[in-house]
Amino acid sequence: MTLSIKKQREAERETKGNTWKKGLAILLGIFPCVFFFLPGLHFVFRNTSYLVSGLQLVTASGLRVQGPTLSGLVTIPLLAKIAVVGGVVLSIAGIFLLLRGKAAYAGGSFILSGVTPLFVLISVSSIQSAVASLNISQITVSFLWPCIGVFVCGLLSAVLSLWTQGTEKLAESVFLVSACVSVAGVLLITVYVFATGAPAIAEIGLGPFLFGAVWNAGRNQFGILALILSSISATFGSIVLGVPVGILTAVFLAETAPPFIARLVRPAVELLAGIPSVVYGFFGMLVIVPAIRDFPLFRGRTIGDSLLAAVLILAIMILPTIVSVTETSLRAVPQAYREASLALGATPTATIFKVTIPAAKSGILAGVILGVGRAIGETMAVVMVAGNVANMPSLLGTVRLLTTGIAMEMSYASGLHREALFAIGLILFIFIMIVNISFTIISKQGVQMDEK
Amino acid sequence: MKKVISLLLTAALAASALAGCSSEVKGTDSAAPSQEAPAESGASQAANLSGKLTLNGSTSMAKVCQALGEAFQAKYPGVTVEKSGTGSGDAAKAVDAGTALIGDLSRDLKPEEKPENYEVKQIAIDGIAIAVHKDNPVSALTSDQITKIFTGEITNWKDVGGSDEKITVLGREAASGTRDGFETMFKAAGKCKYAAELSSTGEVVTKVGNDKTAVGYVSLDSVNDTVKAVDVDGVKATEENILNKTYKAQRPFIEIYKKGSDNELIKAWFDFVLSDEGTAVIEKAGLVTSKK
Amino acid sequence: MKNNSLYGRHSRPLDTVLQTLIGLSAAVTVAVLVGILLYILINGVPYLSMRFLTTAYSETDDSLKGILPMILNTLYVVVITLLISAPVGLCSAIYLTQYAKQGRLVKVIRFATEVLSGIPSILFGLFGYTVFCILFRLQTSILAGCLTMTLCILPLIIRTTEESLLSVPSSYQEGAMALGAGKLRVIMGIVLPCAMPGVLTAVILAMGRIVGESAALLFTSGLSYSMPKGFFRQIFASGRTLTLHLYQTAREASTPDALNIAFATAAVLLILVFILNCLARFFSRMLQKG
Repeated sequence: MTLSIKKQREAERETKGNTWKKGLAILLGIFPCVFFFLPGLHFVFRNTSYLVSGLQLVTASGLRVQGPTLSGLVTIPLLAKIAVVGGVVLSIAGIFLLLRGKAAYAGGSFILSGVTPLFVLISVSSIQSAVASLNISQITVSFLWPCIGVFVCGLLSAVLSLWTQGTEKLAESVFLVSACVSVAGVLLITVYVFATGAPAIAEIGLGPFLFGAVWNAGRNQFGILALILSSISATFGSIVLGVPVGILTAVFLAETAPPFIARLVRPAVELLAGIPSVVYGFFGMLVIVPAIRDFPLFRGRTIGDSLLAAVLILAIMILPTIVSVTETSLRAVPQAYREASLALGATPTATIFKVTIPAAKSGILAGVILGVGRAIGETMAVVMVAGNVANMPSLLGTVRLLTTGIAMEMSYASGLHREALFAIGLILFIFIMIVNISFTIISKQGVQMDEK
Repeated sequence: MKKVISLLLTAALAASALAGCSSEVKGTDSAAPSQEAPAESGASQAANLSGKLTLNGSTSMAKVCQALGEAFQAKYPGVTVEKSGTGSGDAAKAVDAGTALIGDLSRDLKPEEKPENYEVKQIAIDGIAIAVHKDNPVSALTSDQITKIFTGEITNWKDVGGSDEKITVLGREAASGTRDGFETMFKAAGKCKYAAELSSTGEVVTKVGNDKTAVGYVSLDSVNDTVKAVDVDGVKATEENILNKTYKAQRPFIEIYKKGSDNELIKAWFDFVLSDEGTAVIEKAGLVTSKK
Repeated sequence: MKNNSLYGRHSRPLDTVLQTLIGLSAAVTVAVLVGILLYILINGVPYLSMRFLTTAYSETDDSLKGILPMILNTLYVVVITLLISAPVGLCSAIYLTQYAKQGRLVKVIRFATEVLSGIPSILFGLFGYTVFCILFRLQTSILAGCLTMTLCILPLIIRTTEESLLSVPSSYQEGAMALGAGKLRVIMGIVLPCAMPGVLTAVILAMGRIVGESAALLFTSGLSYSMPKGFFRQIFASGRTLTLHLYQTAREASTPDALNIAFATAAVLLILVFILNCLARFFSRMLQKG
C-alpha cells in the first residue's frame, strides 16, 4: 500500500514539475509567432530606414529603394519567405505536439524553428547585393536580436519539452545532437564541395579538365593534369623518403633502443608533430631551397624552389605520423611472436624484420596512409618552397600542386576561374576520400587477418 | 496526429496565399544627422567618422595603401582600414561584389572590367623597375633584350654582357597589375616563360635579392638595397625620369569605387589622399604623384 | 646483441647493416628536429624582447614592429574555438562511449569523424570562406575563422576525449550504478572527473593544433594587423594570427630586418608549441598515474 502511495506522490510531483516545464515551453514557442507580427527587422539604406515585420516579409513583394541615381524594387527572396513561414509553422507544430504528449517530436520541431532565422540571414545577402547594385553603399541590416531571440526560444522550448521526459532523456538528446554535429559538418562540406565544384567541371568538361596539360586562367584554359601529376609525385616522393626512415625510427624506439635514449627520442618525435607547417615552410625556404640551388650537382639547373624541396619538406612533416603509428603497432605485437622467433634461432634483428614488422603490417600501412593524407593536403609549407608554376613535374623544376593551385589564385579568381578552383577542391576531396576508404578497407582486412 | 498535420498544412497554405499579395514596403526617412550640413570643423568631423574602409587589389600598392591607411586611421580613430588582395585583377570584382569599398589597381581598367561603372582616381605614378641582384654586373638593358630574356630567347647572362650563368626569370601570378603592365609594355603578353610565379612584389624583391642570377619586375618603390634597377634603353629608373616620361616603364596607380556611391568614408579617404598630407605620405613611400 | 646461442651462430653481417640503418634513421629524425629548432631559435631569440611582444605592428613605421596584435588574435582564435568545440566534442565523445548501441548511427558518426579528420585544411579554408564569410555574411573575421577551426579540430577532440573516457575503469561505473545512481549522475559524477586529465590533454593538444593552423585561417580571418579595437568588436573584425604573420613576413621579407621579424615570430611559435606539448605530456602522465 505504502508503495503505491509513494508512487502516486512521485507521479504527482512529476506532473507538477512537468506542467510548469510544458507551460514555459509553450510560452516560449509562442514567441516566434509574436515576432511574426511585430516589426523586428531593421534595414537602413542610405538614410531611409525600413522596419519590417515577419508578416510583411512574407506578404510584401519587395522594398522600394531609392539610390542616388537609380531606384528600384528590391524583391524579398523566396527563401526568406519560406524560412519565416516555416519558423512560425514549426513552433506552432511544436506546441501542438507537446500538448499531445509527443515531447521528443516537439523538441525536434522547436529546434528546427529556431534554426530558420539562419536561412533568413542567408537570404538577406541577396537583398544586400541587389541594393548594392543600385549604387548604395551604406547598408546596415540589423536583425541580429530577433534572430537570436527566435533561436534561443526555439532552443529553450526544445530543452524544456525534452526535460518533461526526465533529465536523463534530456541529457541523452543533448549528447546525441552534439555527436551529430560532426556528421552534419561532413555532410555540409561534402554537399558544398560537390555543389561548388561540379558546375565548373560540367562547363569545362571532365576530360579536358582532368587531362588538360595547360593551366592558364587568363586564356580560359583549365587543365589540371600538371597539378595532379605534381601532387602525386610530391606525395610519392615524400613517402619513399619518409616511410623507411619513419619505420626504422619506430623500430628503434620500440625494439632496439636503450630506455634512456628512447625517453629522449620519443618527445623529440612528438615535438616534430606539433611544429606548425608555416615554420617548416620557412625553414625550407631559408635552408633547403638555397641548399638545393647551390648543390654542386644541381648548379645552374634549378632555382632551388622545386619538387625536390617540396618532397624533402613533406617527408619531414610526415615522419612523426609514421613513427608514432608504427611504434604503437609494433608494441601491439604480442611478445610471444618475438620469443618464438628467438627460440627458433633467429637473431633479434632478423626477428624484427621477419616477424614483428610483418605482424604489425596493417598498423604500419594505416600510418602510411595517414601520412599520404597529410602529404596530399599540405599547402602552406609547399607554397613557400615549390615555386608555384603549373609545370609538369620535374625533380628540379618548379611545380604547383593541387593544394597550392587553389591557395595561389583563390583570393582574386572570379567567374569560371573561381569555379575551376572549387573544382580542384572537389578533385582533392575525391583523392582524400579514396585514401580514407582504402584506409578503412585495409584496417578491416588487417583485423580479419589478425583474427585468422 | 492526422488532425495536427491537417491543421498545420492549412496554416502553411494560408500563409503562402498571403505571400502572393503584392505590396511594397516603403521606407521612412530616418532622422539621420544631416549629411548636407556645411563643412564642419575638422575636429568634429573626425570624431564622427567611423566604419570599416576596405581596400582590395594590387600588391604593388600595398605599401602605399598601408601607409595611407595608417595615417588615415590616425586622423580618424573610429575608422578601420583593411587592405587585402593579391593583384589588380581582384579590384574590380571586389568593388562589384561589395566586399571592398575601394579597389586599387596598378594599371588602367581593362574594357572587359566595364570602366563605365566606376569612378577612377589616379593617386600616383609608379615605375616598373627591372630588378637584378645588386652584385650582378649587368646594369643596363634594352627593351628588346628584356623582351627576349623574359620570353626565353636569351637564356644566359653572358649574352647581355654579364657572367656566364643561366638567367632565372621570375614573374608574378596572373592577376598582377605589375605583370600585366610589364608584359604589355615589353610586348611579351602571354609569351613569358617564368621559372617561378610569385604572388607579390615583395616576394619578387626577396627572391631576386637572394639569387645572383635572377631577374624580375617590381614596383619602383619596392627596390631596396639588396637589388638594383637596371637602366632601360639607357634611361635610369628614377622619379624624375618617370615624371618627364623618359623612363617608359611606368603605370598609373589608380583607385576605383562604384559610380554614384556617396559613402562618407570614400569621400573622406580621397579628400585625405589627394590633399597635401596624403601627397606627403605617398611621396615618402617612394612614389611619384601627379601633383608635382 | 651478439647471439650466444648453443649453436654457435654469429651475427650475420646483414644484421649489423640493419642495426646501423636503424640507429641512423633515429639519428636523422632527431637531427632534423634539433636542426630546425636550433636554426630558428638561434636566429630568432636575439630579436625577442618585451618590446617585440608588447607593441603594435606597422608596415610603414619602422619603429613599430611588435607582434602584440598577432598574439591577441591568436588568443582570440584559440579561446573562442575551444569554447565552441570542447563542449561539442566532449558531448559527442560521451554519447559515443556511454549511450551508443553498436548500430548504424554510431558507425555513421565514426565514419564522419574519420572523414573530417582527413580533410586538408585548405578545403576547410575554402569551405569556411564561402559559407561563413560570404553566406553567413561574417566577412573575413575572427569569428568565421573560429567556426572553421571548430570543424578542423572536432575530430581530434572527439578521438582523444573518447580514449580518456574509455580508460575509466568500468568497475567505477558499475559500482555507482549498483548504488542506484542514474546514468547522467554516473557520467557527471564519476566518469568525467576521472577522465578529466585526459580531457585536459585533449584540450591542450587542440590548442597546439589551433596555434599552428594557417591554411584554414588565411581566407577566413584575414591578414589585418591593426590592434584590436574593443573586446567584442575584434571578434567580428579581421585579424592576423601568429602563423599568418610568419607567412606574410617570410614571403615579403626583402631586407634582413624584415627577415628578423619572421625569425622572431617563428621562435615565438616554437616556444609556444613546446610549452603546450610539455603541458600535454604532464597531464597525460597524471592520467596514467591516476
